[in-house]
Amino acid sequence: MTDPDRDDYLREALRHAPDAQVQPPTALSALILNEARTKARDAKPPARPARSPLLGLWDWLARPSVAAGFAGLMAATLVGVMWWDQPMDPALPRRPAPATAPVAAPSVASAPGVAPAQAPIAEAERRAAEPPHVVLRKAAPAADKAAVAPAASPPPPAPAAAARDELAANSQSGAAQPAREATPVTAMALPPPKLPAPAEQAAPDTAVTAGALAKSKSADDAKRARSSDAPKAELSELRVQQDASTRSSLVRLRAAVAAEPARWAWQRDDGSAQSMNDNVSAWLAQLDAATGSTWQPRNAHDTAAPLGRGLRLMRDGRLLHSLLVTEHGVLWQSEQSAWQAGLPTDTLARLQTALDAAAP
Amino acid sequence: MSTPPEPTDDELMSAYAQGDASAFERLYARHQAGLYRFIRRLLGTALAAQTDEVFQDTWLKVVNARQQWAPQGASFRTWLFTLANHRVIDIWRRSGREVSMSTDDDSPWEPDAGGAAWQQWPMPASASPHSDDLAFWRRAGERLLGCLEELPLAQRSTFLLHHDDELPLAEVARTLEVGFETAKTRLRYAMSKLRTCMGAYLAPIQGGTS
Repeated sequence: MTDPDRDDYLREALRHAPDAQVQPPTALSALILNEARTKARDAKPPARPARSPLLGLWDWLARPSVAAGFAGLMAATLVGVMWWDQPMDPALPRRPAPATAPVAAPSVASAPGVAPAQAPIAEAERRAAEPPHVVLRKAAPAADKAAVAPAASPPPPAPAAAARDELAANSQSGAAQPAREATPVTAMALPPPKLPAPAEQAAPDTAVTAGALAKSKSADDAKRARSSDAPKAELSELRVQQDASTRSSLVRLRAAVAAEPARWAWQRDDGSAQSMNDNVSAWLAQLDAATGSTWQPRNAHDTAAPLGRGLRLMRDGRLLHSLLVTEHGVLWQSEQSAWQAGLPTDTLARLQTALDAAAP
Repeated sequence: MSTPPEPTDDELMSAYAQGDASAFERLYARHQAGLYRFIRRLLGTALAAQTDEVFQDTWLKVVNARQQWAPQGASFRTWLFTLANHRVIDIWRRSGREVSMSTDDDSPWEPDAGGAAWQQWPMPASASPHSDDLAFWRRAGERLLGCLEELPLAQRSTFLLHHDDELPLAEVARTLEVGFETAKTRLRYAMSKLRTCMGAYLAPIQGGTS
């Protein structure tokens, strides 16, 4: 490909053409050069120093979406930690702990004349192990029965209701052992018709298993006690004393004894005080099973009357309860109230014999 | 002490693509006058008002395409004039003018018969042109610009690139994106027509030099 020669004359004429020396306007050149410089700066960003991975992680965490997610996670963790060690609300429905042998159970089994009490305890454990809806269904007849029963004037303390309170107090105080013992006793649901407070009598099964809606007051008291910093044992005792002003329950007494047996002592009349033992606890269980819900309040005059030969229960050296088996029934006097339970003669005789054997 | 060799256009463009603004300034200084003249003559007097627009657009295309630019057989200068030629073609089409790329221009082209006042022809490219010679070539230049106006765009661009910007014909063909023979034909036609147009003035010299 040979390049053709240029015409010198035409080229010379081009060189001398009027526009041969024409230049672009200065403003136009400046505009183009400015644009070129601007683009050159954009094309050459300042070198960024090498960033460490930690700084990259920090930048990632600083993103709003990531930061919000972590904040939510931390808040949830904080709430979870705050509630981690809190006991469960007894008012909430829950399944009971796996059945374990109650502390007092062996002594009860070994004690003479306590065989009748074993059946109700076993029944209560079986019912407690059932799903809540089953328990509720079984409790329905009792509730119906309570609904048709005449309303009674000031409801006297019902042993079953008192047992529920005691159960709540013990479970809140962390006394697992009395709780286990109280649970079956609570569920014994002793003969209802004679109780002047049938509503409370019908409540125990549903209350313990399905949330205890009827005993919201007890639940509130339990929450207040749970938030306290006082020793749990003191709380339990305080609750026993507070409830004793309005209610009396042999179940509660047994639970308190079982919770802290070392602080309890028994005494026969003018005899010396002796440490609580399994025999006396078993006798209390026998007495509980025999009397059931037959306890009736005694009038003030009877309350003031001194009791005869019987069993005295002391806590930390302080006389709290006196139990007397008479030929008509069992008398029970605590610091602020007095109760009596009429029993058949043969039952009273067995109780007296067992008491003499357990606490000679 | 020898001075370092001047960087080529391609080296300067590569430097500018990497952010060296001074490289672009040197490129601009090298080619701005020739490009502006090429555009102006290609547009002709009728479209001369758009010379600045085409010139600016051409350089801004260079600026914006700096990252994609790569010397692929063609020099920077070839690429630069190609951009300008495309832009001029757009202007021509927008103005309604015919842009014929055909080289089969068999229609006889008659030079302007008027104004046969030139009788004496000085030698071209004289080192120290006489004042009379200079005046002659200036008139010849004016005449040549008029003759260029009569050429089709394709022949005009071929002639200008070859004679004014002094590109080899192969580069001219690459710039105009045509084959070499096409460019050669266009150049031949263009020169023939221009000689005919200028014949009344160049004939005495042509007879003396050829």
